[in-house]
Amino acid sequence: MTSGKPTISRRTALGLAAGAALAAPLPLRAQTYPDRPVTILVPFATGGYNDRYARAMAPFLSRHLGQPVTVVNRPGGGTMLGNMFYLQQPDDGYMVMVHSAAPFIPQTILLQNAQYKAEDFWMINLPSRDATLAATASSKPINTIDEVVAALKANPRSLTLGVQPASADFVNLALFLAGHGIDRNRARIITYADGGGPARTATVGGHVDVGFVGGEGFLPLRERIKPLMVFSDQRDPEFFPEAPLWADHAKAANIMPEFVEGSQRGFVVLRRFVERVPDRYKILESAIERATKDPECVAALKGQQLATTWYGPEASNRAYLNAFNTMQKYVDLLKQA
Amino acid sequence: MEPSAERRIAWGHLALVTALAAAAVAYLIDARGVSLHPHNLLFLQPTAVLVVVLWAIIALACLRGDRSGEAPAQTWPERLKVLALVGTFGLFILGLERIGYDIAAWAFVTVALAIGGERRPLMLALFPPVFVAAVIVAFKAMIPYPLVTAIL
Amino acid sequence: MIDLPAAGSAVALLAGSLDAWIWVIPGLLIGLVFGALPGVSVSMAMALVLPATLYMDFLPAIIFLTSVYTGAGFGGSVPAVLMGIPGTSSAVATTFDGYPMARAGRHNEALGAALFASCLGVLASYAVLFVLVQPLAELVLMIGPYEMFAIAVWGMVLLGSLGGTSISRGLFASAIGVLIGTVGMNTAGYMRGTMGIPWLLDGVPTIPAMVGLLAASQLFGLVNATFLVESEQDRKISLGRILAGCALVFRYPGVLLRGSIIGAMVGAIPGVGSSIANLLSYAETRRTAKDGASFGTGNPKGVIASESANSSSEGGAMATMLALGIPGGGATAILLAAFAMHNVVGGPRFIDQNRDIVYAIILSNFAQAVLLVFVGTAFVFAASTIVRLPLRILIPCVLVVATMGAFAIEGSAAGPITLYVFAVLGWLLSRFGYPVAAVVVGLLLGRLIETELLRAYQMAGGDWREILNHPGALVIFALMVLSLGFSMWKDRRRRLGDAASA
Repeated sequence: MTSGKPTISRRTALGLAAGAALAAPLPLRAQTYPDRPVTILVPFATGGYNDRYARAMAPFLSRHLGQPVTVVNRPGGGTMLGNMFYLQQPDDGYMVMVHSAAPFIPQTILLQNAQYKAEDFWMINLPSRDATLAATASSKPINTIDEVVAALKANPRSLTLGVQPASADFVNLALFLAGHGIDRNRARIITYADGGGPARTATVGGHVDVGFVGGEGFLPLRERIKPLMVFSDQRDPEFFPEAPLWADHAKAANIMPEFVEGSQRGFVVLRRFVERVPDRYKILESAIERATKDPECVAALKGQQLATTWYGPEASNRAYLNAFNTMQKYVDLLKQA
Repeated sequence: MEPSAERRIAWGHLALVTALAAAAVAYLIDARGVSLHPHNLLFLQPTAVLVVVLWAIIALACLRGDRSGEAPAQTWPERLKVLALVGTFGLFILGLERIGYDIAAWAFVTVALAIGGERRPLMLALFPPVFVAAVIVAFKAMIPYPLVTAIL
Repeated sequence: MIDLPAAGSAVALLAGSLDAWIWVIPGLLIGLVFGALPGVSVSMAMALVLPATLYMDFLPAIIFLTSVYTGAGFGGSVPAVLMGIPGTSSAVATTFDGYPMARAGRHNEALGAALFASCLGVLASYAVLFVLVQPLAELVLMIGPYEMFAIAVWGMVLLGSLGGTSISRGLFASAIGVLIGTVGMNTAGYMRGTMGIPWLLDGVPTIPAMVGLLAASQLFGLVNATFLVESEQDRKISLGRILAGCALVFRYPGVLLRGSIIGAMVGAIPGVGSSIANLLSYAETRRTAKDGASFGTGNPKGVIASESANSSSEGGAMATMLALGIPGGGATAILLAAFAMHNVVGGPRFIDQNRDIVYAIILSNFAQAVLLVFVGTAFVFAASTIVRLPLRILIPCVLVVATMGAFAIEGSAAGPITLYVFAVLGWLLSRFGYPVAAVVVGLLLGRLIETELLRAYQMAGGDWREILNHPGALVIFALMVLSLGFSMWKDRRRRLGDAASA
């Protein structure tokens, strides 16, 4: 149902676009854009945040674009396969990505030698921001982040720390330990690959003393954990407001308050497309903006615990490139798990 | 693949087991190139060593001419039929993304039917396109991925 | 531990919303079809019907989705029995005896047994859930790296030398499988063996590799045969014989019970549960059976062990989802999303405040299990017509469907390429007397063993005494050594007895 039509039309369009490119400049056709279904490409499998966000947005985006919108998944290689596939598509504005742009695009570039640059991608809006949360199971005797620091300073082996390897969370954990002068190689760090889920479960189950994982997934498990610290510099009343912020914690301890923001998810296109076909891009951007602000859409997404804030391209690109630069700066930390 | 019966050494078996052991060693070398940290090699290295040890035992048996457990020898026509199917299937997989899943599958089903011994022209002409069309349409309706096709 | 007033209001809830029931049979059918196609997973089926449930009320939506889940749980066993194709990793052990039974013309019985074992497995696991939802979830949460490592090693030890003509070849096959299973990025973030291919970062795609090893390799060898089932008489599809297969389940209540318990406990472990529950149940049944030697050649007990375990995993996975809000896999993640769509948040609070809804979900699953007997019988009846097709037609068709299924897992050529490579490997290995199933077991358990071993190592931080802090794992290891020792001792006695009487 979802894949049939867009594939055919994209193939014919490929021919059309190629023909049009030879015969007439693209802007001539732009007046009618979009005149066929638009596809949202999700570089993850079905069921995750991005997939759910894309599928929830699709009907509203369709309303504001005036064309059907379908969702297509292309998972694998830590989004590298989806990114490479997207880079091979024509710049006709008929495909847009919903992506955890940071940290996944930086990760594929810095760790997996992906042959594209961070600047090749252009953020339209990244409404979902997820920060690393340091948390412990409610059954554990630990109550504050200062107790964790004290225990680790006395003996780096005293607590086990759970984290996803080669992730934004890992950089934050490493910065936290380094800031307090705790030897990372002596600390007992337990790594959990395959997304944040396993590290979260290990934290809730008490298999690690402190988990450093994206906090969003902890929201339904609030009762079973004690949030210790949020790696952010802004307080969010809906995101564990009872826990101290890393920025304040670092200032108090005289540490550089640097950190990597967790997942930043939302609509992404190619910079190439924005530069070459600006009028189509404008149409797409404004449709996404109107859909995001559509009261019905806001209500529907809120019900599914999906983010609906409109930050716009400027703020979104800045946040994304910031995350990339911090990760690049600490690439050595990322490489040695 | 197998030598004549007078030669005692089980060459086919020896070639297979040696190739697999070589792949395991290549994998170990590649992994050691990534890092010598125990977090990388803790489990991989002993397993690769075990493969090499087992290779030595099995290779010795092959050199002694141990043929226990091997499938009974086939006649040449039978063997050719199997090899033809393996080859056609490989070409089919290679062609999927190049000529489209629909055309590749249609060609494969037709050739494989012929290899299997189907000789009725009507069957060879009509069944493959109908079957392949049904499969492709059904999968397109079910999966959330773009599928490269030439016609459908 | 049953909250009777809540159970009462659950019944009222279900009786009051009769429109909820019309979704059960379509849901089961959708699940059966998606489950029976290799590569098209339960979570994919559920993701695709999820938008349709947006406009339903909460209870019908959840009943519809869990019906799809239940149907797909059994659907996978149909190709496993008829073609030796495990549609999902939780149907691997079903192929070990189901497919030999089909080749011997006992496909009716095998499918009947699989169906009934599945239905009873679902019933049993939800019955456990009904009484023990919270304790079960807590128990699952207690399983950490040490315990998981012990469970995985147990499975490996019992299945490592599955079949095969000599111990060295069995071990060689499983070691190769284990190595293949570790390709890609490991849990500590090291990337190896990828040969520069981006998709290998996630490891070798498991399902295409399994289908290639177990099924496609077989099909190459069958090109010289005329029918899957040699005897014409046995090619019949007989309702009587399907029912006789169902009856077989009652002859081995112990196998069913063990499978259901293993399924509900191990299957509930987030992430890996259901794919190893069926292997463990199969292995334990084979180890304890008097006729253990006939496993792998078409023993119905093997089918019952595997199917009861993989279908009772559903109840286990529901327990962790309902009680903890932790999705064990794609399917339960989608159920959680469906909850969220109706402003219901799963997790600890949900189960306390909405006991009636939890009970209504469980009760409706009882009904689904019963209905599955009928819908499943009809489905099996239709599906088994494929044994009547001559192989010259069946082989190309199955290879094409398997290729499309391999594509469907991730939507790229990675699946088909893996399928082919492993089909050729499987074909070569089986020609020289290697147990292909051992490669599959290695592939499935190798990654798990490495992951858990590494975490255990990280946790110990160089101090081996750490294991003393994990009595659960020690108990599992002790049980393993004791039971293996007992089996060997029994074996020796039997052999000595045979020698004496000869």
